[in-house]
Amino acid sequence: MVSSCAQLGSVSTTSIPPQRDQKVSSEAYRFIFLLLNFNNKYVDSITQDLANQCPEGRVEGILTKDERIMYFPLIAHAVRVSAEGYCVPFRTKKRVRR
Amino acid sequence: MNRTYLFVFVFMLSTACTHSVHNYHVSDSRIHLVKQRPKTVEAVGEQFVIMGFVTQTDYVNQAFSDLQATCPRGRISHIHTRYSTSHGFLSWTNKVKMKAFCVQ
Repeated sequence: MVSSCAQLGSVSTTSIPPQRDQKVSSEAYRFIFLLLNFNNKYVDSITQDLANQCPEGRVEGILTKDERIMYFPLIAHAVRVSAEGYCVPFRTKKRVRR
Repeated sequence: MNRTYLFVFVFMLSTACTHSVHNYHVSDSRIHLVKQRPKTVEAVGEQFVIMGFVTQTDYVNQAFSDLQATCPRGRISHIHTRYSTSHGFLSWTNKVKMKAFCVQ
């Protein structure tokens, strides 16, 4: 039961910034029994979780993966959506002396 | 004639004669293609699978890391990501190809 078969469902990425010091990541996991899944709300937490990890900046260079996992055919499946990116700090405004 | 058909059938099963594109994604573009004159960078990640027995999809992350290595201090934008599978005999190869523009 510990082992599983993983398959990639979809993959996407956004523009990757030059500043790649601070990595942030989040994932959402849903175990599906007997192929019955009644909603997809588990994915909604990813965006907020990434934003919480980067409160003073902007998350860029996000790689999003949708994985389908099979533990036992027809009985035990799972879906894992993962997103990892980089936190780019907001630029502080330069004070202009007049 | 039967042996010929059998030979052709076995040959087709033993080679990657069919390919399937599952997903093609284009990212946002944060660079000016004419003014900044970016260079093209590319990275490919592959995973050979026999009978579906594979427990991870790390080849995607590897391709993503390799793409970043081609443009270490620049911005990578306009990323085209293609996820496809090449089919063989009771096995297949999953491929993720990322092609993008890099501005240093």
